[in-house]
Amino acid sequence: MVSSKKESRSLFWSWSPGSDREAAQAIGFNLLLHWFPAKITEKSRSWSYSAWLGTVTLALFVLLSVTGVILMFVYVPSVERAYHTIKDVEFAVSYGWFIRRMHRWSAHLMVAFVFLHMIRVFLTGAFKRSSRNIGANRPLNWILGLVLLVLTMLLSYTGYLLPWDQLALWAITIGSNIARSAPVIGEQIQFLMQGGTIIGQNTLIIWYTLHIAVLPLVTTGLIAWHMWRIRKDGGLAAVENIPEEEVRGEPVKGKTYTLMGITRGVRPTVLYHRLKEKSRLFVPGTLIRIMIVFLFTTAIVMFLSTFFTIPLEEPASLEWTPNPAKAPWYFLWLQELVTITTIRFSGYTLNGGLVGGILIPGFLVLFAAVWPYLDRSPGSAAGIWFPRSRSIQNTVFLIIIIAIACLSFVGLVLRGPNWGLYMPWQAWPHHPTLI
Amino acid sequence: MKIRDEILLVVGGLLVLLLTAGVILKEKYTEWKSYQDEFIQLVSQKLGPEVAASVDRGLYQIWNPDLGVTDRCQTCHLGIDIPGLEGEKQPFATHPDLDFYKKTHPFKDFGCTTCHDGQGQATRAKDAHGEVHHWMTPMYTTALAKEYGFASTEPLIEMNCNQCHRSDRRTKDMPQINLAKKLMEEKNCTICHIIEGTGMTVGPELTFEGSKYPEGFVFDTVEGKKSVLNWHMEHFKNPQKVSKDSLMINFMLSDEEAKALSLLMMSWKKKNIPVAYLPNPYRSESTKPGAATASIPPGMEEDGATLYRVRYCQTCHGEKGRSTTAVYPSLAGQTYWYLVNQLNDIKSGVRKWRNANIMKPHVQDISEKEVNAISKYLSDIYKKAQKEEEK
Repeated sequence: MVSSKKESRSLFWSWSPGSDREAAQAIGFNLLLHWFPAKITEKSRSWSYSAWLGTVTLALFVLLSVTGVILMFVYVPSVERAYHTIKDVEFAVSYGWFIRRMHRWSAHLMVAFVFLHMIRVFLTGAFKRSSRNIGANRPLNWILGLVLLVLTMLLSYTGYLLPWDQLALWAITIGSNIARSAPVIGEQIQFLMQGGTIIGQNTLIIWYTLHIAVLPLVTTGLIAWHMWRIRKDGGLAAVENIPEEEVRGEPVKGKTYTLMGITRGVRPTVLYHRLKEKSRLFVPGTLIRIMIVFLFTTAIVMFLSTFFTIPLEEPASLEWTPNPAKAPWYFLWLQELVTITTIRFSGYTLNGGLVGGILIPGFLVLFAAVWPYLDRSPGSAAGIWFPRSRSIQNTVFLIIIIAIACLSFVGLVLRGPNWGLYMPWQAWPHHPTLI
Repeated sequence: MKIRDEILLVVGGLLVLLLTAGVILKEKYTEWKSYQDEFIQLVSQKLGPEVAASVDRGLYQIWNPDLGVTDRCQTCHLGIDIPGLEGEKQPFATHPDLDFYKKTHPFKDFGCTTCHDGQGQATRAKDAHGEVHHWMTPMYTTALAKEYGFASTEPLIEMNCNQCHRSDRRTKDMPQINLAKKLMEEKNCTICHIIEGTGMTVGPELTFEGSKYPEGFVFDTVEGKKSVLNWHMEHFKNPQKVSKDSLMINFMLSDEEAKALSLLMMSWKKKNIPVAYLPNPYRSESTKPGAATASIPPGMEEDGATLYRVRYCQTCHGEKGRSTTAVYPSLAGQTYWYLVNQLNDIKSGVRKWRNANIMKPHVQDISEKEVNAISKYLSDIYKKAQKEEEK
């Protein structure tokens, strides 16, 4: 009995822990297993503070991974076969239509929820440096989040090409042409993106490899780091607002957890250790909440997939262009910026691709990345919605978000043939057909 | 708080279960499965339970990579190769002329979309018939045929027949395409267009005219349906109305002739058809379309009217020298010496203006006797007409 227990353990343990404490530490050292604390503050797990947007995003990422692997059994990354394998998934493979829709809807939602999550984090000042916790580094986690935002968009964008239909081909054309307008190395970037001078088989295999291997692996690692950092930062930023009298004792120095779990130094003095009350065990309460979020996210994606179709346009053809040709929805505000900043007068052209496609979004991302280090608001402004001391930066941030939303709306809804503006009640001119 | 969370957990779990059940039901009662149930009932009523028992359930697919065919049409159209269901409602009817097609165009090789168009891979009626966005070649339906004034789908299907039968001079049971090919021989299109390597370059090359996308056409001046097929129909009837500066000749075609020629244009698609599928090129009376050559009957070598026709002058300058197209001058009644001078000047290259480049290839081998005969014939036309009126 004892030996069989040991044998089964050897599947999971490379050594036999001498005590329960040692076994617990082994888990504690593991980046992937050590996302969650044993105890959690009431504020960190509240519905209303964080809306659990990050967890929704994680749930969508899990859904995407599962459905994506299923799709890989059928999909062939070849310019001759890709489109037809998607048609097969849609029409002949059992539940293929459902899996493909799940994947597509999850992808759209994941981009949306990463955005929403970022908006929440900014508005609550959760990126701010901690004034209380030794070892906390929330600005780093904010930057990790920004990298994950970019990775999510890259994941979605690389997936966009794989059906090899007109929507895919021309969305990628727009994107790689914007990349070309980068100064000095623009053409090299485009060459690298396309694997050549045109979008073809080389592009497809590059984007496929990025989509199914490179980007998911990097994203998984970064998500783990992102989640683990929350633990190391002592919980969500909401804990920064726990009144001073409810916290006891001084921070403790000791062993710390790093990525490999071996360094000793400053201990992450997780705040709940020093809280008199208002903290509770992680299991089962918080675990149940995680399950609730996963279930509802799955339910919403399933609902969308059951009742709403997703597009698969004509097979990709470089011989004709759909009119209008639009980038994916989350890049449409950039396409609008490119339109607006392309100005021609008397033979002189302002390169909209450079200004609207590279400089403005590049500046926004860079500025967001350094903002935690420029922010001068008091530490008490972290972890609450709309604090008065941060009202100016929150207003500016919201104006930028609303501007992006408006530009996206114009690109998504109002742009018609020849990139003209059409009100929703105005019919587009009839598109000619073959027969 | 804790209780509320647990209720939420149960509600979330139930929602996922409910939706899973919904998805399973949606897959189980998909459109084609109910058509198969209905078909088996129909067959056992009409043809007996033995035939019904022999009907296989499940997705039925014809796959022929040589022709680019992946057709799942027979998943619903189960009766097309079962005799005895003629006149049944669709999708259950027997294919018309079943014996002929079984012998000459077996379904298992040719599939359905090769002739009928539509989206063969699809397994839902609307998608399969291609009546959806983002599918460029919808199935030929009676409704579609009526939009072009045809009573049935057969004239439209002829477009697809001619993709293989292109080199036939005439093909049995293809009246539209046959009419168009006859018109080609009469009008001699290669005077202006290159078709399969033969012809002149006044107009665009037409070898793969049917493969052009709608984006390549201007529809502002086209009346009726904005489609490439209708563009051709309108253009054949009056080229200058559709394309103002066109050099195309207005042949004063009837509606029927314009439609036939348009169907022929649309049939000239760039498709990779394996040789084995082409009709026997040695046995059939085949020739390159439009390459018909006219010869001068003996004793008529100096007859102006004959020469005018043999040299295809009437193609541009009209029957009896009366042009139907503004860019090409009417020559009837023009003075004899003017015509002789112009013909000689174009031949020698002295005249380079006013479309002389179009004329030059047609007169570079003309003899002095021919010049005189054609000029005399044209200059006499008015005098003859006047005399006839006086009589």
